[in-house]
Amino acid sequence: MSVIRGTQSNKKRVEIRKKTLWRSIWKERFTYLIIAPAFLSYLIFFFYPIGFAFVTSFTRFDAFQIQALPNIFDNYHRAIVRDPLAKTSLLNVFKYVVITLGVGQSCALILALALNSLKRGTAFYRTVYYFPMITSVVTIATIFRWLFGSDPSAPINTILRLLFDMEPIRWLWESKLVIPIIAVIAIWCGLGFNTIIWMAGLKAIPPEYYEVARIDGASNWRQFWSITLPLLKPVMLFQVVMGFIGGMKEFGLPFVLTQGGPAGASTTPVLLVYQYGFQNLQMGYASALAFLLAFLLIIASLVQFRIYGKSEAYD
Amino acid sequence: MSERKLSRRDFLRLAGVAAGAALAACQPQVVTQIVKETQIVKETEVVEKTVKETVVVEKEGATQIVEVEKVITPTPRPVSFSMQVDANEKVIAAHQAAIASYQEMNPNVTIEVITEPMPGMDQIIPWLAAGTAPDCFRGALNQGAIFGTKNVIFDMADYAKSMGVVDKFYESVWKGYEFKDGQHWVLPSDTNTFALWSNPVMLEKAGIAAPPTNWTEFLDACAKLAKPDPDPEKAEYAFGIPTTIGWTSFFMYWWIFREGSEWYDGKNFIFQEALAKAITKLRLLITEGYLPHMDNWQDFWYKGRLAMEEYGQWVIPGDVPGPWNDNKPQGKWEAPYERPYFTVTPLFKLEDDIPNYSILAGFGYMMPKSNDEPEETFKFLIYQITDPEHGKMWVLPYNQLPAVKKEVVTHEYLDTPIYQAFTTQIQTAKPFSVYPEITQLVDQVWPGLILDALAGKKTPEQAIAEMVEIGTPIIQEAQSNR
Repeated sequence: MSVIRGTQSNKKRVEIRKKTLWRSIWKERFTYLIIAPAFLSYLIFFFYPIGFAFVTSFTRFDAFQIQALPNIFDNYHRAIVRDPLAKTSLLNVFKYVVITLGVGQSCALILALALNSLKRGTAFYRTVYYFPMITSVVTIATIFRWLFGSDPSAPINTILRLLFDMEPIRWLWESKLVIPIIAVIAIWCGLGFNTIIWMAGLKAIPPEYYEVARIDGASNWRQFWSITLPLLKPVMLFQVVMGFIGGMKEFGLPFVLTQGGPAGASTTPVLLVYQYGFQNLQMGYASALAFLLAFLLIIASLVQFRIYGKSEAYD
Repeated sequence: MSERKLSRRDFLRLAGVAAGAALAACQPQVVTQIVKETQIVKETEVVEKTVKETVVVEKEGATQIVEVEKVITPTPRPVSFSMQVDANEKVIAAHQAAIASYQEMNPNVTIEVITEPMPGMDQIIPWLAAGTAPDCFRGALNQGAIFGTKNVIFDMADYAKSMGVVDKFYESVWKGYEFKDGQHWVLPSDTNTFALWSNPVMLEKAGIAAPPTNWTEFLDACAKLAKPDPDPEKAEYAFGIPTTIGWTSFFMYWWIFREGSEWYDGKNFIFQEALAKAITKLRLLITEGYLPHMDNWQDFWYKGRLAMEEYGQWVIPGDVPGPWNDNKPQGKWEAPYERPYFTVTPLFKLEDDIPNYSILAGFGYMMPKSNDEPEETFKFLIYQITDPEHGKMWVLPYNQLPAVKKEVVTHEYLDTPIYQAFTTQIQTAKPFSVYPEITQLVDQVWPGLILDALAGKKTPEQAIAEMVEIGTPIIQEAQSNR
């Protein structure tokens, strides 16, 4: 008897909740009306393509026809096991991310520390370093392609010849050099932005900590390791996560500089997705590659959050 | 009455349900591919019809029945289609003239001109997928093979045969545009190939009597010529290998690609020996200092001993008056001596016993399956390409070699040495087969390996082994995706 009563009361509760839900929606109808266009456009131009791409990643889709695959996971199997270019592109982008995160963020942090200690002219230097950020990636890539040309008369080769009498180097056509060069260009591009982020972090550290440390006789180095770096951990997390995601999504520089060459040595996963999708008309497979990349990014970001989340919080 | 506010959870739940429903509604239906065979049925065109009419004639009180023949001319069915035209003033004017002339003869035909730059893949794909493509558009030969195998553009082979126009084209060009099973997804309009350009003043100074006609003569000539100035601004080049009539560019990669042999037979790579020979020969030019590296092959303009970029800046037929072997430079380029006189001769083969695969790139028209008037569109395209007056547009303003024979489209420039050299080259060359499967390899993967071999980083054999190793799984996947 009590069970029946309980079920009835549950049903009632659900009904009441439904009613109150609709009532509250109705009450806020004007608000919902205002956000509806934005929500709809999000639904149409964001969620729908994602959903569509997800469905096609399990099919053979060439932009014109969708065919069922004999094995529904064939595209994913191909990406993980069979496609040599997919593996190469992943390795390339890992190298790229390691360099841009390691070297790039270190440079930005050093620069931020230097600018932070400046008494005058900070705004000027900050503006100067930020300039590459507002320049189109195509323009930057075109300029660097000229600088890193293989000709003996290309600027970098000319400088090396004049200074060290070196033979011309095929910068962008050496498999071992191409990714480090692209990474160096990316570091140069992002230096200003990253410096500003680090500077914002540095500004947030209360100066009293340093005063106390100085009174206690801590050296600058000690202050950096014991105060600055631990307190910059939230900024570091942001930089690492954003840098990792940005690096894994790299497309513009290799596309303009090398088209992924030589022989795939600078192909990145996103460039590969573009090539498979829009040049080879294998949209289904390209979608599968894109989802694998997204999955990898989510996992990597979660791991990063976990690692940094475990660390001690400073007030 | 108590009111509950909408909790965040309720809102998310509601939004999730709505999004799920929308996605489910929009989800594409997975269908089994239906391979539709397009059968072209030639309609019998009724121009005029003679009918017999029985007329009752009353004559002097007597009634007589007379049969009278009456000619009925039916009103032509209105036809309309759209056409993409390259966005260039001279090109648009040339097309409009052809359209006006065609419409004068066929008043029932309306042609809408859509001016767009020649579309790339990322333009054509959404056009074709959405069914919004113009009824005919210009494109490159390799694009036709890619879209043709997807059954989204018309095969024009049967139209051409039924209209009896195949003979109007150079055989090598027509065959060069033919897919392996005889399909013609791109109707050839204009094409280009290689030729050898020589500077007679420089040759004469070096004691070379005439432009080389084979590899041995070419190497001898290179050895006799003075080394070019290391400063690219001052460098003088005796030879050039332009890949089009109007522009000087040099694609070593493409030379190898075309000269080595066919690379692929539809199932296997077949290039090993011939390609290794071609790489070895061309590498010699670099090691001897006759030619710099080829890494900038993607930079359309290429400076090198064989390139003559400076010539390319001004040797554009439309801009240069006068006989073709006696032109003066225009613009900023200044030569240190009286010149330039240059001669254009057909490019020699790298190996005498290997066929010369000469067609570098061809352009033409494609017709999407969304075109409701494919036959009428085809008729107009043939008119535009083969009409003696309007077919000239491929010479000017396109600066290309017309795909149709010199007898079909005549132009004074076609008798100039440069066009003659290109014509000879294209007539004597073996057409290259077009396989969409190897596009990815040719465009994206293999150039680096060949360039490594040319730069001496790898032996030709090593480079080829890597090409096969990387290429095999990719081509297998591409075949399974056809």
